[in-house]
Amino acid sequence: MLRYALISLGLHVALFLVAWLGLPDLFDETPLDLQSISVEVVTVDEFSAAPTKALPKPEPKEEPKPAPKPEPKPKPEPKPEPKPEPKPEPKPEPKPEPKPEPKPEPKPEPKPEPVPEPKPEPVPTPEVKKEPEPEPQPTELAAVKPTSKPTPPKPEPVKKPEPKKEEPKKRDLMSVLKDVSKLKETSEATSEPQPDEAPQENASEVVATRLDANLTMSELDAVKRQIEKCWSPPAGAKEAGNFAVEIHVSANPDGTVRQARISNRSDIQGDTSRRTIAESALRAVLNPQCSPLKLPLDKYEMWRTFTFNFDMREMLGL
Amino acid sequence: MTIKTNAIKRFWVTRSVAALCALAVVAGLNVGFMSPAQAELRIDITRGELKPMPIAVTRFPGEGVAETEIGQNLTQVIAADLERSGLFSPIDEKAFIQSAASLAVNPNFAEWRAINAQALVNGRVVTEPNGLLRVEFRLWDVLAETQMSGVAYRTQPNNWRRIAHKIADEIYKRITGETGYFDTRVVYVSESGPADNRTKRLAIMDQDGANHRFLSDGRFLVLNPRFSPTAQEVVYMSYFNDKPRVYVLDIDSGELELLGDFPGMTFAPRFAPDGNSVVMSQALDGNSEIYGLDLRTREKRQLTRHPAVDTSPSYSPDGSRIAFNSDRSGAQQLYVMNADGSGAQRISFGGGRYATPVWSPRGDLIAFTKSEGGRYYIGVMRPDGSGERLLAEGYLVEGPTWAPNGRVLMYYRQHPSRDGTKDRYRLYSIDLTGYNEREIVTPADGSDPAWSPLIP
Repeated sequence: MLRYALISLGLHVALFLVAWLGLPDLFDETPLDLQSISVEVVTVDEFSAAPTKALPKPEPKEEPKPAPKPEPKPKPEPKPEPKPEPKPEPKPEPKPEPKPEPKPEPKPEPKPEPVPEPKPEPVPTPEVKKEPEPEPQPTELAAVKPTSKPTPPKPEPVKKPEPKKEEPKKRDLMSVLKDVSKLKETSEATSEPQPDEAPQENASEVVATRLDANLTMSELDAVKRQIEKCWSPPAGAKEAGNFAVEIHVSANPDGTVRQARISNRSDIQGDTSRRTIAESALRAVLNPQCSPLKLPLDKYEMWRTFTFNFDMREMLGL
Repeated sequence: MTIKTNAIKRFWVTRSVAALCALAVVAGLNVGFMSPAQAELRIDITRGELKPMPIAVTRFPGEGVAETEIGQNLTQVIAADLERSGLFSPIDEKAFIQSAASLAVNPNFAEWRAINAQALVNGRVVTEPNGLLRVEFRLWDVLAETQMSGVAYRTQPNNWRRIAHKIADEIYKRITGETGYFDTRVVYVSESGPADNRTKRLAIMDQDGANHRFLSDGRFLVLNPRFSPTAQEVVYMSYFNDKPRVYVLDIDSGELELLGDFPGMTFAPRFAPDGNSVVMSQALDGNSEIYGLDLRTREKRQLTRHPAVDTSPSYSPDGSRIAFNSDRSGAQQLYVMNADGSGAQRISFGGGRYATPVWSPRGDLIAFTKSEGGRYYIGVMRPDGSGERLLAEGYLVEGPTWAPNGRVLMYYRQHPSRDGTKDRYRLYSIDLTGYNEREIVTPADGSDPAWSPLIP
């Protein structure tokens, strides 16, 4: 312990000196070489999401912090490469943590609460009477239990030969929308541009220079693909294009899900369409066929708890 | 001198500030990497796979023989409804592990997960002292282990089918987030006889083909039936006494009413969304124009005035606009105008001819038929003409009609025979995605379907 502390102290002192000597005079010119560290800071998930989500990031440009380029690690090029996304913050941007919201309530037992008696209906008309929804709180779907033992994916008994649904090369919703005229014209040329492809390549480069502690792009992709297979998004839901669900996951070291809950529950607020979307996401995470999660077991600390963000917008072409 | 001191001072200050900042940055990084409380991993899921949801619909037990039988039938109808939607895949009950008796107490979710069920439906059937049937059902989320819905219905025992459809609607709504469409009916034109002497009768059936019955006896040709969006009424055109006229039929009472005895021929009627008026075409002296007719006052209003043929009007669900087709540009194309007839704008610009626009009850799309190169298509486009997509194709596909939730279309298809004398006409439904095309089995040939609103 002491040894590490000493090393740490030494490095800090060294860094201080290096920075003192080596950093440019910040107040004199535009700090072009700020970016030298930016790769270090961009987390992979942000990075991979970047191309599709052109969400205007709050440009934190105005008060450029000096970036300590001479890391303890031997870094090859302190190149002042003016990349378009300057990320001066040292930390992976603390995204709007949905922390301050109601704790996961202590698991409402799925008790089969009795269906209240509907009013006696004297009229002998063929009317059927629907009673006022004796269901449990609509927002009470977070009752979750450990799916620690992944049930073996039994062959499903009634595997219908879904008519034509197998358009194998196409996976996302957009392509699920059929257009007979297009099928004709371009029956072959359907190798749709994988929107993820390009960023992936850039990213792997980035990953190579990252500290080991984070998940690599391919590790993240593995779990992404896994969950995508288990998510059947309610594409027809009214709020499909407006609402992204955050599922907060507590995972066991073996990759099984200990607990999953909707963390942006406050955004649902009794909207049944949003509730439907949220539930579909929760089912994807809890689906035994997606358990255990394909995450690197040796990096458990990285994913002991984490968040899945389910967003349909890309699929809907929004 | 002062300049120099200032420079030195500034040098020291900025150097120190910079170095300290660097230190702070590294300290931040250290904290980040050492503690698990670093900004949490976040994984974006931006794709999914539209797969039918595996659902276990268990038999609804009943006390007596009659109830048991009804329970079993209910289960079958519910499962069939869900399956036909293409969004669910009901699991064969042979695979079920948990016994009905134990399920009645509480679902054992692990046993349902073991057979891959994601949702579970159970219920029971009771006959009440007054003879009415009471059906309770519950929908469970097997993975989240929660009850998603629980409703009880009461009705005459012979009306159990509607309860099954209502339960299927509730399941559909709860899981997809959209209103269901199972508790609906379809009117259509049932055809029989040789091609040169067809008998065309108005017929009605449940959306799944059950409870089929005829509404007219076939003495007079019927065409273009359209459901009222607000009542169990149908407007259609009939050649009563060889005069083509538009009639309104009350399905339950059988009451028939002629809609104004206009000169010329009236055809292609369709209700306004409030059910209080009808738009239709009137052909007179070789020209066809669109008229609105108030059903209460019988006041007629001419909406188009153009030497071209304007026909097939269809209201937007908010009643503010009307889609129609016209050949005023040469070929038949789709147009949208304000409900008072002003501001007509062409919205279809593709090749071929476009006809029969039908505005979706959801308002977001207009279905149409298109013919080009000897083929027919059923397609949809947005009301501004963008996003055209062709869903079905054939020798002849015609007469699109929307399910009340705007998610499914029904239409008819002509299957040509070799010699042209035994062509078959069949009704089909297709999902808005363009998949899951299903035939609606009818006793004889069928054409011109019209989907009812949800039965109240």
